[in-house]
Amino acid sequence: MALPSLTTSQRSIRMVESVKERALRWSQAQAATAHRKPVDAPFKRLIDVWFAGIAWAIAHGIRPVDKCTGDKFVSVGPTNQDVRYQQSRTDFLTLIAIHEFGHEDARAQDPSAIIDLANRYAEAGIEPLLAQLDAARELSVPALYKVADIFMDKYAAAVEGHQRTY
Amino acid sequence: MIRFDSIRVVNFALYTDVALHFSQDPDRPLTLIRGQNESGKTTLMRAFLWALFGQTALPRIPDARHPVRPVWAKPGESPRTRVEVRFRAGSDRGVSFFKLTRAVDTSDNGDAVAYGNESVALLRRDGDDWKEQEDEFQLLLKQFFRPEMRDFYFVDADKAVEFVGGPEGRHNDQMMRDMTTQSIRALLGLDMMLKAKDRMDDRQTSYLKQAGSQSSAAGQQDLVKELEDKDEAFKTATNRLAELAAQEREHENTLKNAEHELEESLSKLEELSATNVQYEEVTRKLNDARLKQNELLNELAACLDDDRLFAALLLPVIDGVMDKLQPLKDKGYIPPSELTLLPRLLSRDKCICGTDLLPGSVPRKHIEDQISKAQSLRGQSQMLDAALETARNFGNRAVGNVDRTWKELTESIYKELGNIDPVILQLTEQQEALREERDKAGATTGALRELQKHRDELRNMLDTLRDRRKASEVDVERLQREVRSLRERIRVAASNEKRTQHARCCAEVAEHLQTVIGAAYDVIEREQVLDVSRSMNTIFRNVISATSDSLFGEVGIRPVATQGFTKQYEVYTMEGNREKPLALANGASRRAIGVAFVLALAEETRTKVPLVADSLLHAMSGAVKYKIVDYLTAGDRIGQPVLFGTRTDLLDDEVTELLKRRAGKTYTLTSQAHAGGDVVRAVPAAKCAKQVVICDCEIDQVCPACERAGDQARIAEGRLTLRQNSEVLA
Repeated sequence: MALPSLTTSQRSIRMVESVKERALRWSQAQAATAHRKPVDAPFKRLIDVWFAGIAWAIAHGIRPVDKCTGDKFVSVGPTNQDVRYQQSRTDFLTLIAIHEFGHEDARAQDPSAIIDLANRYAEAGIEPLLAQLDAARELSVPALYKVADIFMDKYAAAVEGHQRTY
Repeated sequence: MIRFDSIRVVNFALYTDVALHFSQDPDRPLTLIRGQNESGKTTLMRAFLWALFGQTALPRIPDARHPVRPVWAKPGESPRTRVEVRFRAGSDRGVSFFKLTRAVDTSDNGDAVAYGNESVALLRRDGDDWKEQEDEFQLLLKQFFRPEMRDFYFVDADKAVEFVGGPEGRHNDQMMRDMTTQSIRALLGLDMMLKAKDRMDDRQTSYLKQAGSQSSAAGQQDLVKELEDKDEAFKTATNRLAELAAQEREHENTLKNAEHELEESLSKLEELSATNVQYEEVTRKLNDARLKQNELLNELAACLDDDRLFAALLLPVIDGVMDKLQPLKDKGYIPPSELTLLPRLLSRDKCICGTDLLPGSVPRKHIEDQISKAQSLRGQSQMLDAALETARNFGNRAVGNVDRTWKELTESIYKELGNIDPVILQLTEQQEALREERDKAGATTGALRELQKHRDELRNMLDTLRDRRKASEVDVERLQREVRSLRERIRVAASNEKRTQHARCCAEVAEHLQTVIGAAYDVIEREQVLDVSRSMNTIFRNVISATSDSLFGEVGIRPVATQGFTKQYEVYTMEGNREKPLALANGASRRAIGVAFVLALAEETRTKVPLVADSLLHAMSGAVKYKIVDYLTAGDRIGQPVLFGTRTDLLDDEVTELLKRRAGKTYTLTSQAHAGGDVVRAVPAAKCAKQVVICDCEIDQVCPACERAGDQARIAEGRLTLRQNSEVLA
């Protein structure tokens, strides 16, 4: 049995406006500018940067903000105006909610609560992520390489010494 | 001056072959030819006329045989008739001797005589040889023996009567005037002067026409002006052609250089083609490498969106979920087991313990609450089970338990990128280096295109120039032809102008000559006709009719009418101071007047032509005959007198005596037609009975050939001498 989808209803994805401006520099798809190449903008969409912020927070043990202060920049859902969001990412968000709220807590199965938790994690993790990305941008090495290097380091830190089997 | 030397007659009518020589003795100038009627005098005269003037001089006698054909010739025979006249012509430059020969073939088929194959030859003696005057003999003949003067060269008493209007009783004034006028004009040269004057008039008219038709001075000026214009156009066109030719040469050289440069550029381009190939190869490799690089970069970018990466980053969550849910799974709470017994009990309405489970009953309601609670927990349990499985899956992926780890994937991409980057760098450098060379080639190609374009333009210009030059050549040739034509026209016009001037001069000369001729004509007419008239009167009064009983006191010639420029003449007669009509003159007077007229004319032209007179003395008295012979033979009044007459006409003793003194040559014609008549002895006929024999007996001689009945008495009286050895011609 698969985890239930979070996008049967429209859900708002939020980001602080100032952060959003910085995050857009790493996103290929932008409304105002032409499509950029992956080598210059490693993330396809802004929601991918948003999710990376979530992962970055969890990887670094950063707690979510208490209350999301960001503005909606996109909605995920079933309508044509909504972003199609892959199931694996909503699965990750469900696992985060189960982990955060506990399996007996009803919020663990509440899509609104799950998305809200995600927005709060994102708001907490995206800032340090962008700080590191922006620091890397100063170098002459292409952004993609730098982002890949950063995430390789994080990957290595997360996996190395991990003895658990599943 | 014309003088006959001899005549030879061969196969002519009555004559087989005879030759007579004319007297050249100035003291005895007369040649006397005597013979009775039908003895051949007239035939001999015709032979003379035929030789000198041809067939037109012969009389036309209806139903008669041809006067030329020998009388003895039989049908089928074609004898050749020939008459040869030798004469001399004197002028200021001396005397020339000529021989005129006329010959013809005649044939007789029984019905008519054919006259053909006629030949005439005039030869001039040159030393001992005779040279034929081929080209000018007709001219010479007309000069020597003018046809219009024929009746005066050869005249007889009957012909002389026509000058006074014909025989007695048939007088015709118009015939008299025509004959008189014609003879005066012919013998005095007036007709020639008239002809000359007419010719001058014609020539003057012709010259004036020529001058009028060729006068084109104004046209010539127009032509000269046109020529100047054309000449200028020709020079301009020639210069233009030269310019075009120079331009054409210049363009040819430029084109040659351009083509040379083009060839060099092509050669360079060929050298650079290898570089182009290399450049293309490097570019292709570089594009492939960049394409691969892009693919790798896309793969690397995809790595940043890979669930394995996020699973690794979210391992704390995964592990936390696992830690919470796995024990529940292990205890069997998740997933929940199926409730199968309770629903069956409810359907049976009875528990297995026997308790009734009727609807609305408390036991049944308790069971229904348990079933509902169990169903609620089952949904949550199922979701947690799914979450556990999801977390397990992510965990396995994060650590690489199910496939290659994200790190391995990313590192492999990195490695490939690391490999391809220097390749791209190297290829880029190579491409750059080759690009520089290629740019050179490109520059060369561009230059080549420019050169080709330039060459094509030059070719087009050259073609245009050649077309223009050809058109100019055609123009120049046309103008050249027109200039030549104009020059020729001007030359012709100038020539015409020259001819016009010449024609005007000639017309002027012709006019002057007409005046001169007219004046001369007037003088000749006035003086010489008067001389002829006086001579005629003198001859008539002193020679012919100098008798006291003559009816006419004066005869002469006078003009009677004018036909334009010319006059007509007539013979007039006066009795005392009164004119007497000529028509009243009797036969003897008419012959006397006619002979006087002929002799007067002969006297006026005495140095020019001989006078051959037939029967001139016929029916005249002895005194008259004497005076006529004396007149003809004394001095040089008459050029060369040749008299034909019968023996009877010459029987007078005084006349005979005079003839003996004045006749240098005497011939006697005897015809065998008279054999059995008064001819004593006939000479045996060689051809036929009509054959004439000729002997050279003098006037007071007879021979066996010409002796006639009654001659013996005269011989006995001593008035005739019988010759036994006379030369007889036959």
